[in-house]
Amino acid sequence: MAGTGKAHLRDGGARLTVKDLVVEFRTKGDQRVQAVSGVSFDVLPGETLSIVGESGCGKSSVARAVMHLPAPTDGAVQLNALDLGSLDKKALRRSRVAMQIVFQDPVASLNPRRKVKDLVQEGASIWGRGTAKSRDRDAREVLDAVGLDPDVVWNRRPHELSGGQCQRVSIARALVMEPDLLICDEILSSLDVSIQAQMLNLLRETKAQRQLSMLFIAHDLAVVKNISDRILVMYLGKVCEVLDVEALDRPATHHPYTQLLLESVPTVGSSRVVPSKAPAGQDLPSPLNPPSGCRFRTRCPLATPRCAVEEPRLERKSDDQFIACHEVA
Amino acid sequence: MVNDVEAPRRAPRPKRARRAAGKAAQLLAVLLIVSFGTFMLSALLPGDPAVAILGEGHPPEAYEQVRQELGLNDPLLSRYVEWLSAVIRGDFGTSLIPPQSEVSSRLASAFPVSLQLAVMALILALVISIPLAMVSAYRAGGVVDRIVSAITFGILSVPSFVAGLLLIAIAVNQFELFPRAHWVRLTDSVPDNLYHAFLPVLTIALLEIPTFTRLLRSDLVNTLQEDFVLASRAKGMPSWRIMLFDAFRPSSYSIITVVGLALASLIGSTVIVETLFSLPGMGSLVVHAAGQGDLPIVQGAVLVIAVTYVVINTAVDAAYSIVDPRIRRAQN
Amino acid sequence: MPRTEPISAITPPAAGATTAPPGPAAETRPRGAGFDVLTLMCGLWLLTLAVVALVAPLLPLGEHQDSALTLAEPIYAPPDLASAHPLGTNALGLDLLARVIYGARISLVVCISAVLIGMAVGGIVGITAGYLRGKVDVVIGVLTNSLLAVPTLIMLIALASVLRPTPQNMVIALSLVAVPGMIRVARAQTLALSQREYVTVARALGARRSRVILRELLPNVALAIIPLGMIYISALIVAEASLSFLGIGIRPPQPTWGNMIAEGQDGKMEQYPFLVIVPAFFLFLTVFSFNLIGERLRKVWDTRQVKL
Repeated sequence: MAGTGKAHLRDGGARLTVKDLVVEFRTKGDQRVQAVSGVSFDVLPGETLSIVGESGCGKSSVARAVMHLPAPTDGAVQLNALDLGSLDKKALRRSRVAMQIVFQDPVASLNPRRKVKDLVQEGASIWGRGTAKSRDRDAREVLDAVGLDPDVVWNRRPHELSGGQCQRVSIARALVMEPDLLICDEILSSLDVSIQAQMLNLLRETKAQRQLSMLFIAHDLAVVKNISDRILVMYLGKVCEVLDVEALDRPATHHPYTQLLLESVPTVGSSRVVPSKAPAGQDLPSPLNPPSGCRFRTRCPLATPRCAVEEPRLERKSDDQFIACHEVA
Repeated sequence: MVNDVEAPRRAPRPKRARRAAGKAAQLLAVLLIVSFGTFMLSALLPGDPAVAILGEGHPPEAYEQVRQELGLNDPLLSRYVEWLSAVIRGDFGTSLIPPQSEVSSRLASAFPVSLQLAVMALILALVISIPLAMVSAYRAGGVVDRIVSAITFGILSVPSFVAGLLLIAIAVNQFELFPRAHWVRLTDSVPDNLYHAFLPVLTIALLEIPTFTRLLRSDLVNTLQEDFVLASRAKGMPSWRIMLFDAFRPSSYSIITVVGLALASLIGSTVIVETLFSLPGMGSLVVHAAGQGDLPIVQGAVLVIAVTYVVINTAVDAAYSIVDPRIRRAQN
Repeated sequence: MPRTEPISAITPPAAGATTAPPGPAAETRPRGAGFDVLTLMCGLWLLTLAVVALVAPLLPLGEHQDSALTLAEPIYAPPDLASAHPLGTNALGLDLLARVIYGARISLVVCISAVLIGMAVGGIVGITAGYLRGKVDVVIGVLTNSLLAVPTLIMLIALASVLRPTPQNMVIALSLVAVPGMIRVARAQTLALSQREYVTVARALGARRSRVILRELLPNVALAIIPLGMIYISALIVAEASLSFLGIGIRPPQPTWGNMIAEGQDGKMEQYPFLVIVPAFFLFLTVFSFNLIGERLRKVWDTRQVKL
C-alpha cells in the first residue's frame, strides 16, 4: 500500500484540494522525519471527508498542513481554487479564516485566562468585524446553536466548564467565523461516550444547516461511519484506501489495513466490547526509517516479496473505492 | 511477516562537530560581551576621569595631557580593542590608588584564596548535605524530613553576612574558639591555614547546604521509588546499603552539576565572608577597590571571575553529558 | 468505543508540556495546596510591613536619620517596649524602630521596583525569544548568558563602583540581576505554551504575531513568572542589604537594614546585641516570608495547571 496517486481526485468544483502533500519534521538529532509523504485528497462543498488511522500515521499533520500551521514541506493546498502556497503572509492570514480547526484536547484549546464571551468573539475582534453589539449577538446565537446557554456560560472561564462544554465553545468559536471548511482533529476522543453522540449530532445538524465542508480526523472507524461521506485511510504518512461510506459496509474486499481497523470495531450485540485484535500485533514501525515498498508490509498478512520492492499506487476498484495494494486490487 | 526495521542511524559526525563549533562561538560571544561590559564601566563613571585623577584647579592643558596619555580622545572601539589585547596578554593596567601596583599581581595573589575558600566550602557543604538528604529521604514526609526541610528553608533566608556576624559573635568573641581577622597562606602552614579558614568556610557552606540538601533529597526520593531499588529490597538488602550503593549514585547526577556551577559562582560570592573575616581574596579586593573607585582592579577582578565562571560552567556541561548516560542517549 | 490510542514514536509536538511533573514526596505531604497558618502569618507580616512602611511619615516614630535632632536622646538605649524607644537607640541616639521601618521602606520600594522592571523586560524578551526561536533566540540566549556570567554580588559591586548609590541607581542595578532569570523562565514557558492548541487556534483565526504574544502567551507566562518574582524579591533584598552592609550601597545616615546591621560590627554587637538583632530579625522574617509565599504559589499554580 502506502499509496501515492491521485486516481481518486474528482474534477473541479472541490472546496478543498490537496495534492502530493509532504510534511517533514526535524528531530533533535537533525534528522528529517516525514510524517506525511505524498497525500492527495479533495473535499466537495457540503461533504465530509474523514481521515482515519492510528496515532502517528500523520493524520493530524495533514490537518495542520492544510491550515498552513505550519505550511507543508511540499505539495499544494487549494481552498476554493486558491493556492494557499502562493499567498503572502497577510493574504494567507485572511484566507485561512475560511477554514477553522477544532482540536482534540478541549481544555488546551481554550486560553485558560479568557472568558467564554471573549473566546467566542476572538476571531471577530481580530478582524474588527461588526460592532460590539452585533458581535455579542452573533456570539450568543452561535453559543445557543452549539447547545450552550449563553446566559450561563457567558462570563465563565474554561476551568469552570466540563470537557464537553469546552469542546462546544471551541466549535462555537470556529462556527462564528462562518467558515467554508471545518477541520475536526480527533475532537471526540477525549470525551465521554454519551457526549460523543451529542457532539456528532451537533456536527451533523450544523453541517446540514450551513452547507459546511468538513475534514474529520479520527482513529476509530465506528465514529467516522456516522458522519462521513467519504473516508480516507492513512498508514505511516501514506494513503491506503479511499472509499465512500456506503462501501464500508459492503462485504467487499478492503485494503488489509482497513480490514484490520474494521475488525477492531466492536459490533453491537457482540459479547466482546473491548477491541478484539487491536491493529497491533506489532507496534508501528518508526517513521524515522519506514519500511521499503509498501509501508504496511511489516504487519500485513498478505505481504509478498514484491511489496518490499515496489510501492503500490492508489487504484480505482469501483466508482466509490480506491485501494493501494498489490494483492487486493 | 517481514521485519527488517534497522537500528536508527547515528547522527552524522559533521553535524555534531558543527554543533560544538556553534557552542564555542556562543561562548566566545559571551566572553566578548562580558569584557565589553566591563570595559564600559569606565564610561558609566560620572565626571571627567582626568579631573578625578588630577583633582580640581589645574590648567586645562594639564587635563588635556592626561586625556591624551590615557587615550581618552580615541574612539571607543579602538580603545576597547587596545584594552582587550592588553588584557589578553595579562596586562590589566595599574591600580589608581597608591601603592599603584600591577593589577595582575594583586589578582594573582587574591585568586588562590577565594578558590581555596570556595572549594573547601563546597566540600564542607557536601559533607553536611549528603547525610542530611539521606536521612530525609529515608522516610520522606516523616518527622526528620520535616525538621530538616524546615531548617534548610530557614537557613535559606539568612543572609550570609548575618550568619557570619553571628558566628563571629559566638565562636570568636564569646567562646574564643577561633582567631579573627587573620589569614595564613596554605603554603605557609597547612594546619594553621585550615584552622583560620574554618569559620569563613562554614559561613559560605551555609549558603549552599539548603540547595544541596533539598535537591539531593528529592532525587533520592525519586530513585527510591524505582524498580531496581525495590528489587534490592526484595533481596533483603539492608536499607543503609540500598541508600549508599543503589540509590546514591543514580541520584547524584544533578547535584554534581549544581556543585560545579556553585563552585563557579562561589568564587565571586565569597565577597561577604572575605570582608567580614578580612581575608585577602578576590571579594575583599573588589569591595575595597569599588569603595575607592579603583576601576582597573574592579575591571580585572570582574573579568577573571566571569571567565572562571564561564570556563567551569562549560567544563561541567561537557563532563555532565559524558558522565550521565541518560543525557548522552537523549542527544543521540 | 473510545479507545485510547497507542502512543507512537512521533506525533507533532504535543500539548501539555507545561505541566511540570509533580514533585515527589514534597507534594504528598498532607499540607496539600499549602495555604496553612505559616503562609498566612508570612502574608500578614508582609502586609503589615508594607502598610507601616508606606505610612511611616504619619506614624509617631522617633527620629530615624537626623542625628542633630537626637542630641538629647539616650544612646545605645536597650529595647524597652514601654519606653519612647521600644526597640532601643543606636550610637547617635536614633530610634531603631523608626530606622527599621524606614529601612523597610527603602528595601521594599527598591527591590519591588527592580523585580517589576525585571519581570516586564525579562518577560517580554523571554517570550519573544521563545516564540520566534531561530536567530533571535540565539542572540538573546548569548546576552542572557553574558549577564549570568558575572556573579550577582560582583556585578552589583562593579556597578556600585561607578554609579552613585542613589535608590534609582540601585533599582537599575538590581533589575539587571533579575532580568536574566526572568528571561529564562519566560522563554521556557513560552516554548511549552506555544505548542498549546489555543495558540494554533488563534493563528487559525488570523491573529498576528504581536497579538498571539500579548493576548495568548503573556497572561499565561505571567502566571509562571509571579512566584519567581516573589523569590527574586527576597534575593534582591538580601543583595541590597549585603551592598549596604559592605558600605557601597545606600549610605548612612539614610537607614537600610544592611547598613544598620553593619553598625554592630567591630565588637559593638557583643555589648549591644540589639543593634544587630533588630534589623537582622526584620530582614530574616521578610526574606523568609517572600521565599515561603513564592514557593507555595509555585506549587499551587503547578497543581492547578495539572488539573487543567
